Amino acid sequence: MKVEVKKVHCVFSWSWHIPKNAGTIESGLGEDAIGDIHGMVHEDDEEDVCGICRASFNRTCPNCKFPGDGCPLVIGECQHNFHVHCIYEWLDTSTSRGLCPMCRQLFQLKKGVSINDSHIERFRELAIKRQQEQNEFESNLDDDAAIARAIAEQEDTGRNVDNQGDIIMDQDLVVR
Amino acid sequence: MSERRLLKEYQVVKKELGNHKNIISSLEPIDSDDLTNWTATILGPPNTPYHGHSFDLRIHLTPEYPLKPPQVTFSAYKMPHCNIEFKTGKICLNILDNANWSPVWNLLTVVLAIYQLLSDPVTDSPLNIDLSNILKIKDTSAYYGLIEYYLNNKSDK
Repeated sequence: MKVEVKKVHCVFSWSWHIPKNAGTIESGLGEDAIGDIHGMVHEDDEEDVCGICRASFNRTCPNCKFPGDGCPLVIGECQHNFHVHCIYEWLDTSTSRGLCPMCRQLFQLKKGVSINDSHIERFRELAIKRQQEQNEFESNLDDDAAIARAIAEQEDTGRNVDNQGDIIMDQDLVVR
Repeated sequence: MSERRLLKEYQVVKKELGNHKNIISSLEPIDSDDLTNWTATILGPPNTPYHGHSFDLRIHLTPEYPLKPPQVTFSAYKMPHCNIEFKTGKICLNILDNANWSPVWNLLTVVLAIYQLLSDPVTDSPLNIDLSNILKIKDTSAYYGLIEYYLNNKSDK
């Protein structure tokens, strides 16, 4: 029997390869590709979701149309993952104070993870901005503390003057 | 943030609300076409003067949600509590402040936190000075008495 192939329709699927221990992340099918494909049958809400937008990493953040390289995820030093657009938008608000929404540690991109590489510079700039705000805030606190100290000192000096007055009066009395 | 996140929120609430039916008797958008305005009804926790009563909340989600916290208030003149302004229903709760909010929280966690506040009033940041003062001197019977008075007599207003 001779089989002649006239046309081939390629069908493929993909998902982010997110190991449970979150050590390394690669795009495309990893070693346990079969596991990934089985993973596909899970309901949407059983997939790993971005904590900020609640959408699966295999889908997009709310502002994107195309998943995958167009709307990648990043992995933090603290092992928490987010859509890069979601976490960037969060860290760009001053109320974030540069902290991870999950664990409240300073959010930094994990080093030595290829998926993070192209974002490192932008995140570093953002971290510097937040750090400056934080410093300003703290120096304002210091200013407040300095003013409070100055007032306290003034009050103290005032009291000393009074004390001295009393002493002088006492002396006067003694002299008389 | 967007319609899509709000729809997710709606799905999560519908799915998980059943797990909290002893705490939250309802949590739904006022108009199902507008997912930015919600109402909730929470039940008074056991072992508190609120037990046996239920309380309505209004929740407004700003366009910045979830990067900014939702705005949540009790109905005016309905909630006598140390950290709630009686006249307006305004709530003083740290996670609802910009500075302490985290975008991983959602409507359910917010409502559960408010329920928790009913059991654990914080006297350091009072919006109802009378109740806070009574609580500070640990006069439990006066505390219960005043809250019950408010709940039974003033809540018709």
